Amino acid sequence: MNRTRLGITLIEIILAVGILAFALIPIAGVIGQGLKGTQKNYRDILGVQLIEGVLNQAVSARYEDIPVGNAQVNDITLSNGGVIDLGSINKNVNTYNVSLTVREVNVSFKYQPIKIGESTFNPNDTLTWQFDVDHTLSLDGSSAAKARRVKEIIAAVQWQEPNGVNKNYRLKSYLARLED
Amino acid sequence: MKNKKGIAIVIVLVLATALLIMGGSYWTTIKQIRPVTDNFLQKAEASLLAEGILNIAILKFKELPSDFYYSYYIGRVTSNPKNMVPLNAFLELNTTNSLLNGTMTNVDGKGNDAIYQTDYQVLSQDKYTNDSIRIKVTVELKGITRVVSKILKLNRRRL
Repeated sequence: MNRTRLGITLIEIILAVGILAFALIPIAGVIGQGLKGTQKNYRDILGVQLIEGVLNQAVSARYEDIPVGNAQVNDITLSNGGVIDLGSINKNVNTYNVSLTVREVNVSFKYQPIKIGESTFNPNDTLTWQFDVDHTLSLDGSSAAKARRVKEIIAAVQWQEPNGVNKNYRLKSYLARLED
Repeated sequence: MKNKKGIAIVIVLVLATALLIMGGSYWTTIKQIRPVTDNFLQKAEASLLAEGILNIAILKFKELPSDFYYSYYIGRVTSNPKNMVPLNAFLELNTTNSLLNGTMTNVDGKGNDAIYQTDYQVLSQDKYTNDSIRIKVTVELKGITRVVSKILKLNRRRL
């Protein structure tokens, strides 16, 4: 009879398993939340990577290759043979909508020109150098010589989260006409 | 043998406590993932803005090469006498709405402003015919700094 009272009883085991099960409930919840969070971050990073890649291609392209327009979703073929993928892109069961908004912008460059026309000017003697007041070169499209040569490019990505919420990111950069 | 009674509960309580600690540390780790994603976005934003400003800086040099050389020479090369005013004007320091040195709000109009700086440096000259010029753009955005530079190799000729 004494032998049955020693060691671990069935009641103890049942109680222990109950406590363990109770402790596991919140932990399982945390793991589930963590998994959801990781998947959400993965979708975010994929979205950012998509527009980062698109914008990198766009700012490295020839000026004429990137057309002006709002929320363009048609692929852009570059003169070097490359293609900028826009529109719907499927990645990891999600569908991302990637677009480019491009517009030519006015830029102004400030500088102080040297007075070369001065009679005392000697290019080899800096003591004779005189600089004019601030001048501004405006590339604003007001004449052929002042044609706009900078495009502002905004890449946008939009997708739908599993809970139905729309998410989007946008990145901006500039492309300048550097070709002769 | 008597004092072994109830040991299962003690073991389970220890295990449950260990599990809770593990769960807590896991939760803390999960909460840190979000800032990592934000950092990823800001790094991309800073890098691409720097690339764009670098393009504009190259365009400015291309449009105004003589003005750059004269202002650079009197500002940084000669000491007879040194005059930084023309170079500072070329670098557009303290100029409102400058695309070379200034601040820019986020593309969505929210978040922190990006602070950007542009600098030009003549690396080498060969009898005033061949030059190497480095253009460097630094962008700071919410504690993240991105530096983008490009070296231009140039042939000078009199027009």
